[in-house]
Amino acid sequence: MFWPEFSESNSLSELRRIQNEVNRLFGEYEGAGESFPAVNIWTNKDGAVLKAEIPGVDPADIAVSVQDEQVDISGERKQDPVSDEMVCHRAERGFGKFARSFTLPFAVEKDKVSAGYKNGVLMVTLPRAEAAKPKQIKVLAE
Amino acid sequence: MNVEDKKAVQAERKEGVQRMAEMTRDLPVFVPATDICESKDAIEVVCDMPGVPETQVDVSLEDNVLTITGCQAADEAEGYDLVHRGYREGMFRRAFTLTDEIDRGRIRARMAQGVLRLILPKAEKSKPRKIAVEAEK
Repeated sequence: MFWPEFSESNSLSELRRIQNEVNRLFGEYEGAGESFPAVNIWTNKDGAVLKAEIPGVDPADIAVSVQDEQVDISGERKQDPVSDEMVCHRAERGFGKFARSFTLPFAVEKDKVSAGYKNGVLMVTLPRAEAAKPKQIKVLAE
Repeated sequence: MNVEDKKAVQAERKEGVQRMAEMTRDLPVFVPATDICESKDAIEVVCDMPGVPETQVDVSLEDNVLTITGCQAADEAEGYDLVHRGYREGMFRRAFTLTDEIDRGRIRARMAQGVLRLILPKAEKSKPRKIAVEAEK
């Protein structure tokens, strides 16, 4: 017969696991509005792709800058002009300046970075710097 | 706020209770952030739907309910592994109850840069009319 052991260290680690689980639940998705813009980042051995949900912004108002491992996105979401005779019943869409910075796990070849904006989503392609690429070392038999 | 407006607001509160039928696709459904502004000629509804191509937007009007649906394009980077998630891909859906003051035949929708703009013109009869008072001599 199997009896689960509830030693002190076990129950504590179980609590910690639950805590991590809850943190993951709330932490994994930033949730729109809390940090604007919401960003997803993908990486592989050759580089990274960053996408940000920035609807309704003129691409000219978005700035992307790259320095070594750091990527900065900033810009401004302008408010729609509202005339005096208009009454706003709901104003849920945010506006104003935004800025976010991310540190990638490797340095980026800044001359080869490209960025595009489509359907309100900014996509930045960040190739890994040659110097930062892992080098395969052959193990020789003696 | 006039009676019509109040009705619309009440109907919308109710909408939160009466959940819409579930979607057959297993996608998260988001409520798009929306601005609603009213001028004397029209009501403008603006919804943020990032990642939704123009072809994937559906605006339908059934009875009194205007439903906005938008499906996000697949958001993947082929050959890459996700390392940070700030948003999920899914679909946007929101419904508004219209009052009779809207001229249904002239509703216009425009999608640009992930933002849907709907112009709901008011029917002629519901526009405020000014009645000139003549002074008797």
